[in-house]
Amino acid sequence: MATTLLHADVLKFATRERVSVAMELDDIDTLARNYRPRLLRFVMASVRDEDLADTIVQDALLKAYRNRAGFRGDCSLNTWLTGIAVNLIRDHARTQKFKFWKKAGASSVDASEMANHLRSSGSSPEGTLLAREQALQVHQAMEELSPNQRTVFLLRFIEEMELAEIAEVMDMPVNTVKTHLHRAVKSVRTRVGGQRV
Amino acid sequence: MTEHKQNPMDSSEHLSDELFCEMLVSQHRAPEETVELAEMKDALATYRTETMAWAERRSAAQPSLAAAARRQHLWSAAPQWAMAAVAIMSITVGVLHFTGVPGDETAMDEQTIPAAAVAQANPQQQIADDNALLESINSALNTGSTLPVDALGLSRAQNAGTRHHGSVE
Repeated sequence: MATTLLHADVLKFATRERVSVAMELDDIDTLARNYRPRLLRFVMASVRDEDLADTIVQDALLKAYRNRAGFRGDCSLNTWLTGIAVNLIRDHARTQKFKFWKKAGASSVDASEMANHLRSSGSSPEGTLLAREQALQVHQAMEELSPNQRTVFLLRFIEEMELAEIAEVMDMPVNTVKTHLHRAVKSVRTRVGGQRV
Repeated sequence: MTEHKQNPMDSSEHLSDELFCEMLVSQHRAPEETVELAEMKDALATYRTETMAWAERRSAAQPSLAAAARRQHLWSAAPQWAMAAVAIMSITVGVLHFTGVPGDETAMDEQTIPAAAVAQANPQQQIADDNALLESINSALNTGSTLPVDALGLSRAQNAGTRHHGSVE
């Protein structure tokens, strides 16, 4: 009896979730309101260019909206959207224009809005001066990672995704994800720790 | 790797990369946590908070995507409209061809119609010409032998043969 009730509750919850997701997907502005900031943070940390990040996020949301019938609910909407964004970043990374800007920006100090926001004193009570300085160091250390290492690091520690979700988003085995993650952590640890010492 | 698992922390309280990575994910503060790990956790938490604040502020300034979605929908439907137009054109041409609605033949008919019209322009003359033709045919038929066999003399020979057979009997 109790098991049947529990099963019914789970089904009811799943149905409610599905309806909620369908409503989010059917309204592009609701989709943007709920997911654009999170996507923008991830894409900006990946490409380090505000305009390009805006374009990629907009493309990802429009692509998701256009292909909403293809969302089967096997993963969360956030995972699905992040997967679309990861693919768009890969597509952009292949273009010469992106490579040119990347090369031009590599030699200079990261002066993006996001880096400046991290540099500034800010108003967040969580951000102590030391943590803020180290957050900026993490941001700079990620610049030196390979694209796969950076994506895995961001998804794991900034987007707080599980390894299985990252594997799905990046379309690679979990063990490969683990390898990229360990290498990324090692590199970031060395850079941030080195500056700390 | 195995060595790291057996001895995750060395004498100087330095965590192995693998353990560091695992402990970095966990939310709660473990008692064996090093200063380095705690600082890295704080740094990542600050990074998450501050970058999210930046992204929310920037997202709020972005325009609505509804218009872009409508535009994109129209553009994405363009190939379908083009294919539909081609299909309708093909069907129309096919139907017109097989139902006999004049195409190029119309031009040919238009060339013959004026000739007929010219012929019918003077009906009295046409009737007179036809009558003259019939007259000439009648006169030709009425002159000379009535049958072609008569002209060749075949009927006489046939009659003579009949008589010959009769005399034998």
